[in-house]
Amino acid sequence: MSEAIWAHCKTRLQDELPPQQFNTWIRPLQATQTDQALQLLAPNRFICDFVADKYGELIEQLLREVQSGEAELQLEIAAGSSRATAVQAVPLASTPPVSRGPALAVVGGTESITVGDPQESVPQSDTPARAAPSLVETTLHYGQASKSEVHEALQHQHNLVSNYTFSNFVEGKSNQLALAAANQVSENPGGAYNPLFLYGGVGLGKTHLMHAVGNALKINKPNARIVYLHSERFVADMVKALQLNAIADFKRYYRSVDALLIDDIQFFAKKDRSQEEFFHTFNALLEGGQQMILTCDRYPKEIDGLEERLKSRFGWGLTVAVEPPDLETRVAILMNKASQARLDLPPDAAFFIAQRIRSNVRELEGALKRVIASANFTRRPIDVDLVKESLKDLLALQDKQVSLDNIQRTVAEYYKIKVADLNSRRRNRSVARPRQVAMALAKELTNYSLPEIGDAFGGRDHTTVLHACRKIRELRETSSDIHEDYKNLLRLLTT
Amino acid sequence: MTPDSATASNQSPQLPLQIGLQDETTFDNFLAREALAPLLDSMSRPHCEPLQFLHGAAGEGKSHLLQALCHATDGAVYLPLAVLLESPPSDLFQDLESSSLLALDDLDVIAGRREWEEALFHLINRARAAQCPLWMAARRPANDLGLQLADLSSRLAGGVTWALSAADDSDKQAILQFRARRKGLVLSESVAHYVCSRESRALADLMETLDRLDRASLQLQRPLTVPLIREVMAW
Repeated sequence: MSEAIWAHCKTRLQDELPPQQFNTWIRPLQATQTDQALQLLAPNRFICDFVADKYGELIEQLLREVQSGEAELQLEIAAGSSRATAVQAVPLASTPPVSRGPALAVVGGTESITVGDPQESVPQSDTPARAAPSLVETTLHYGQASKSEVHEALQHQHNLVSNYTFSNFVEGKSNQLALAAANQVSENPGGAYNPLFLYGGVGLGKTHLMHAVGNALKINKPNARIVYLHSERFVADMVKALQLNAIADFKRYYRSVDALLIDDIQFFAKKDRSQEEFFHTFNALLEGGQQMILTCDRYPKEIDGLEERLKSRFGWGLTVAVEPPDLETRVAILMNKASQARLDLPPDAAFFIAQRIRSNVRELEGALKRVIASANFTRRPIDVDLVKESLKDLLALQDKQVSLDNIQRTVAEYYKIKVADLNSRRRNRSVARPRQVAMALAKELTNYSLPEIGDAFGGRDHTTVLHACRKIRELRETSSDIHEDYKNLLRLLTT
Repeated sequence: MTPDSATASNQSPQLPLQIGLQDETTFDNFLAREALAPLLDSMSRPHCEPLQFLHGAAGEGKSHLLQALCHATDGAVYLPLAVLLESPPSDLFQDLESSSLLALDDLDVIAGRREWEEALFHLINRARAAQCPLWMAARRPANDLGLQLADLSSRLAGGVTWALSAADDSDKQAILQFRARRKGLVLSESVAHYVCSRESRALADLMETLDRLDRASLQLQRPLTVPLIREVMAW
C-alpha cells in the first residue's frame, strides 16, 4: 500500500519539481511498508537531511492529499547504509493543522531531525550524526551484546580479502625483505617482529602483504581474532564510541583481538585524540603479546603531526620498506595477474607494459585491466599492438610528462637550482651532480639519442652524457642519497 | 549528449539544487560512436570492475554516460561534484558505499582540496570493501588531475581507465542528427552540415543550439530548414 501511495506522490512531485531536483533527491528514496506508516529510505544521512529540510513539508502535504485519514511518514536512512534504527513515527493529521504540526521526523540513534513544529516533535539531541556501521557497533552494540555474539561477530568481521595471500604475491628485490618479515610474523605472531611496520609509496603491495599475514594466521588458527581495518575506521569508531559514551567497549574490543592490522596509519596525523587512544591500545596489545601490523606511506619518523611516543613505538618491532618493483618484477607481476585471469599474455606485451608503467603495481594492474577489457571486447589476442592501442592515451600523457623540458624542470625544482644552471657551463658539484642525474633520467625515460640529450643540456658532447649515465649508475649503487634522489625523481616523472 | 554538469551548472544561481539525473541522459539518447564501443560494452556490465574512470574534454559525453548508467541501475547514486563543493565531503559521502552503484562526476574540481581528496579516498576504500562499483569522470586522466593525495591518484589509476576521444566533425554532425531524430525533428544532412559549419565546435554548444532550434520550430510550426535556422540564429 505504501508503495502505491508513494508512487502517486512521486508523480505529483515530478510535476512540481524541476527534473534535476526530482531525480537527485526524490528518485533515490525507496518506500517500504510498515504497519502504520509510509517509510522512505534515503541512501545516506546527507540526502536524508536534505530531503527532510527542503521537501519534508511538500511530501507531507501531498500525503495528506493522497491519503485520507490518519497517516504517518517516516524518513530514515536505508538499513544497509546506517543504523538509524530508532525511527520516530509522527502521526500526520488527516487535515492540515492550524499551526503546522509535526510533519516529518528523522531519528537516527540519539539524534532527530524534524520538519514542522518542534514543540510536538520528538526531542532533538545535540549528538552529531552517526556514521557508517562499524565493527564496534555491529559486534558489541556498545555493551548490549553477549560474549558469544561478540565472538561470533568477530569470526565474520576480520575484513580480510581472501585473495590477498602469500601464494599470489610476486616476490622481487624491491619487496623480498618485507615478504620475509611478513612470512615470519605469520609463523610466529606476537614474536620479535611486533609491531611489523611496512612502509613505502602507494600501490606497492603493503596492503596485500598485510592481508596475506592475516589470511595465513586464520589458516593456522581458524578461531584467531584477526581484525583488519583502515585507520579511518579506527578513528570513526573511536569518535562514535566517545559520542555514545561507550569508550570502555571500544577499548575492550580493540584490546581483545589476537592480531590488529591497521592500514595507512599516516591518516592518524593531527588526530590527537585518536592517537592517544591508539597509543594505549598499542601498549595493551604489545604487553599482551598480540600481533600488530601497520602500514604507512612513509618512514615513521617522517610522519608530520604524529606524536613522538608513537613514532618511537612503531620502531620497536621491525620496520621494513617496500620499494617500487624493478622491471623484471613488474613483468612477473603482469604475468602472474594474467595467469590469474586465465589470459595469455605474451612476454613481449608484458615487457612493453612493464617498461612503460613504472610507478607502482596498482597502476600496472590498472593498465593491464584496460588491455584485457579491449581484448575481451575485440576478441583479439593480446599482443604489443593491442597494448599500444589500448593504452595510447596513457602513453601519450606519459610521453608528454617525460619531455626533456619536464625532466630539467623537475630536477631543477628537486635540487632547488635553476634550469639555466643545468644548461650552464658551471661545473661545481651542486650543479654538476643534478645535471648528471637529469641526463641519466633523460636517457632512461626518453628515446632521445645521446647527442640530442647533450644538445638539450647547453650543447654538450654525447660523451659527456654517456659519462653522466655511467657515473649515476655507479653512484646509485654506492650512495644512498643519490639512490634516494634518483628513485624520487623517477616517481615524480612517471606518476 | 549533454554538456558536462560543470558547464550546465553555470546556468543557474541555485547551484546546490541543480544536480541530478536529467531525463534525457539515457543510453537510448547516446549515439554510440565506434570508438566508444568497448566502453559501452563495459557499461552494460557495470559491476565487472570495482572502479572505472572516464576522462575526456568537456562535452564529449562523460556526464551523459554516467547518468545513463544510473538511469539503468536501480539504486544508483549520481553526484556531480562541481555543484556539490559547498557540501561537507565526509557528510556527502557517508554510507554511499551501500548504494548499488556510485557515479561521481567532475572529479577535476576536487583536485587540491585536501578534505575532498581524503574523503573520496576513504569512500573508494569503503566502496571496494562493500563491493559497490564506482564510476568516475573527469576532464583529464587521473595522473594529470593535480591531486595532492598520492593514495587517491594511485587508486584512480588502478581502476580501468577509459579515454573519451574527441568526436571529429563528421561524428558531431552525426550526433546532431541523431539527437534531432530523438527529439522528433528531421534534420537533413545539408541542414546539419549548415549548423555544424557555423556553430562552435563544442558538442555542448551544438546541443544547446539544437534545443533552441527545436523550440523555435515548435513555436513557429515550421520544419528545420536553412532559412529558419538563419532567422532564429541570426547567422
